[in-house]
Amino acid sequence: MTIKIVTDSACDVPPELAHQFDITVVPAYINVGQASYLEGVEISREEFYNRLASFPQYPTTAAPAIGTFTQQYERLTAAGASQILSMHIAHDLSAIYNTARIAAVSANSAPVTLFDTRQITLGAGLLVLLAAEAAAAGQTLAEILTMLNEKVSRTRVFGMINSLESLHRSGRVSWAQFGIGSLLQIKPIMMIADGVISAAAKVRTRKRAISQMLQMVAEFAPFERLAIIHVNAQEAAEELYQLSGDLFNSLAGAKPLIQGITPAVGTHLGVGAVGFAAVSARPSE
Amino acid sequence: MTQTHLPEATQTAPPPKWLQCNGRQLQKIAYAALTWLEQNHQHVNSLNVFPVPDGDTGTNMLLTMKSAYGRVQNSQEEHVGKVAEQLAHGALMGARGNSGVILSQIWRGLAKGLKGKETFDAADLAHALQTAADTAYSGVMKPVEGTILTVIREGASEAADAAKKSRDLRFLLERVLERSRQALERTPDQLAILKQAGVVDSGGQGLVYILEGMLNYVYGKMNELMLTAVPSSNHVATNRPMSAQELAMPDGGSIENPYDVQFILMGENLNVTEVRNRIDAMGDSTVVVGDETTIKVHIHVKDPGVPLSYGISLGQITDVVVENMQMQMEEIVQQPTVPVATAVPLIKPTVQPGQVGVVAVAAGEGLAEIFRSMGASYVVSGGQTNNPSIEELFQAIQDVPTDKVVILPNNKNIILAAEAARDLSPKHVAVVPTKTAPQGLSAMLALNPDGELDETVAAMVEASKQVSTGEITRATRSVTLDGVSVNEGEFIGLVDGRLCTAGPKLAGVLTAVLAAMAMEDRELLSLYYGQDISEEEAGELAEQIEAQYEDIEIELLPGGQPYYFYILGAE
Repeated sequence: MTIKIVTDSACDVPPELAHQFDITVVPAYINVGQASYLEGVEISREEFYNRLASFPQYPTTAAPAIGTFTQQYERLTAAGASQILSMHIAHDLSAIYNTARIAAVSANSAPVTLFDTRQITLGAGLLVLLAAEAAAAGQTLAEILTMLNEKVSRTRVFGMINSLESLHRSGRVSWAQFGIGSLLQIKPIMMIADGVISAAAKVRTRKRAISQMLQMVAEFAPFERLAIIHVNAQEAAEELYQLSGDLFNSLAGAKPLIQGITPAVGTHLGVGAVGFAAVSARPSE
Repeated sequence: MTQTHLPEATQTAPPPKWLQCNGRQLQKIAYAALTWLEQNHQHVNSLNVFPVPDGDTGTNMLLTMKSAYGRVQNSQEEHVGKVAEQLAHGALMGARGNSGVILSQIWRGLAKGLKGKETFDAADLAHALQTAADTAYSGVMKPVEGTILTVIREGASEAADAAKKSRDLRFLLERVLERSRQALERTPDQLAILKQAGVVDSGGQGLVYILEGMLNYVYGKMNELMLTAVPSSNHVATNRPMSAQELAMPDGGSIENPYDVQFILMGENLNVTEVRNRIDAMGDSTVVVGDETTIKVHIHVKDPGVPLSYGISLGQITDVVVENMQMQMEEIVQQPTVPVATAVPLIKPTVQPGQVGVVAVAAGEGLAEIFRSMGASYVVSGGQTNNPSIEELFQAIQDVPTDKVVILPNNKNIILAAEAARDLSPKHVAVVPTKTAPQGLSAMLALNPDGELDETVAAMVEASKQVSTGEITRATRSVTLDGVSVNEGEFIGLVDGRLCTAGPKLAGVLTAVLAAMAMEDRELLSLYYGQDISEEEAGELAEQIEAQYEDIEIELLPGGQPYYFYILGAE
């Protein structure tokens, strides 16, 4: 009985961990005008973000082709998988889950079980890693799904948005509904929980935004998993880690995970955004 | 009290004793008070403590009196209790500014004291003046002596004494006026800030003018006043006698369309432009505003059934008002003093029923736009010299399509009116007492439309304290205040309401204001430039500040506010 895990690049599983647990990452597309790139394959994240400001049109992202998922499911089956667990970013926020679902129906493969993480970026990625570890430890698919269903509700992503410009340009969501379709400079703190994005707080300056975000994250301590995420802002992410105080203390011996955010999400948040992905150790109320 | 204090007229031609006042007489007394205040309101305006073009007390009290008189100007009512009630109602709806609100409370107290009286005598008036003083005090959360409150309190106490000595109403009013003048003269001894500024309390002065005006009537100066008084307001209600024909056409409408129809249309995917075009074709004086879910309609038509049926074909209609203006012409009922255009929403409401909506007051289209962009449901135009009335604020609250409403007055002289509007409304209304636009914008950040009203209000109050406000304007008078010496016409800078600097050059004043705001410890400076400043000028100034404070982010926005060249918010 071999369970293999498939995910998409928007879940932000770090490449070395994906390699270690043999997780298959299907890249999403990035479209710039007429050109289309496979994220992380045809354009690196670094290159993408460095060129972001100079793209003639604001980039959009698109789900991988159905055929790509089909190919991967079939490849894993040929390599000996008896079960495939395909985990993706929130169904409510992206077409990727549905693409994978259609691929699963038509694939000539071992049974594929779809799982909606109801998260994005490393919020989804942390759940993928928990599943991969459980699979490696020999748990059954049913056990893994029970575990995941319980942990989804304890997972949160927090992100401090550096500039509203990207949000406005990306035009993905009606940001006015969060009261941040504003003419003023605002640093909103977005929270993603159970597939819903909300503006958890709105403040005017970066310093206050960081301190407020740290308070919000602290409310979910202690953590089973905690990571720092950023949109092409490694330095700011490391600073955030320095400011995190004892938030990471509950994670025995683990070195902090600092991970860049996928362009699929980063184009909306804008370069300079930093935040956290967390799985609380406390059962949700 | 000696005879020498009495006006000349009494000495040359002492009138006969006046023992009873009826409704018609009270109406004329109110008119005399209004007219005298109108002639003197600029003097009241000039008594503002701060040398800034802030909250013009005289104008506010005048508009409040106009609104009061507007309710009775064409009345034939003889019953004095009823006339007082109408005056009080008009004052309450038209009250603006702190002194205007207190004046409306005085009228309310008088009306309470005169309730049920066909006519009043000296004892009745003394009693009513005491009720008026008590009501005025209870209308203020923290009553301060040395203000209009002191003047009405002392006046009322003198009235009680006078009523014991004589049944003559003229005698009573003279005594009240004299004591009120004395109380007014003492206000600088009670309020240090008045002494510093070398003025008496402006609201108290306004009240003294009102009392003087009342005595003018008593002295029979009415005919002379009628000839000299020229109303300056363009409001519907003025002290100019209106013909019945004019009254029937308050919005320039025609008697061809005698029915005034108002309603709110609620539906889905409503097309405002189409509704406006269709409604427009039905009559005249059309106002159609709103969004795809809620539209407010006002029109004059021949047949009220036509617009109502049209409304019902598109969704649900509520708050229906149909008035027969022809009948009104015959009954000579006064229209509200507020022009229709200010009572309708300036933007489309984005709030849904059940959510928390915000009514914000803003001076300047730029600031109004910023409040809207942050989710304010309604922006009431008004500010420094243009304080909205209780009725305008009340209308805005009522027009927000939810029953949970937060008001942001954004000016210290509008807070009281906002609280009065809150008390009038059957909705759940809270006032977040913001004194400046930056405070109001900070409060907007904490708005959680889906939260509980109490919680979101607490968060908004807290957020409003996170910002320091600087204001740069021109001195309207010379004064020395808080150790700052100001010459009329100079630039002056205020930080969080305190005068902190003055000078002949804008740049120098700005530098001092920035220092007083502790800019070196700040992260962000928002610069809202006023209607008299060009974008280039503001841009150059922003560059200079940037050069001086390298670590600070500067945000430049067109505020469009009058009088204030710059409003600064620092965080």
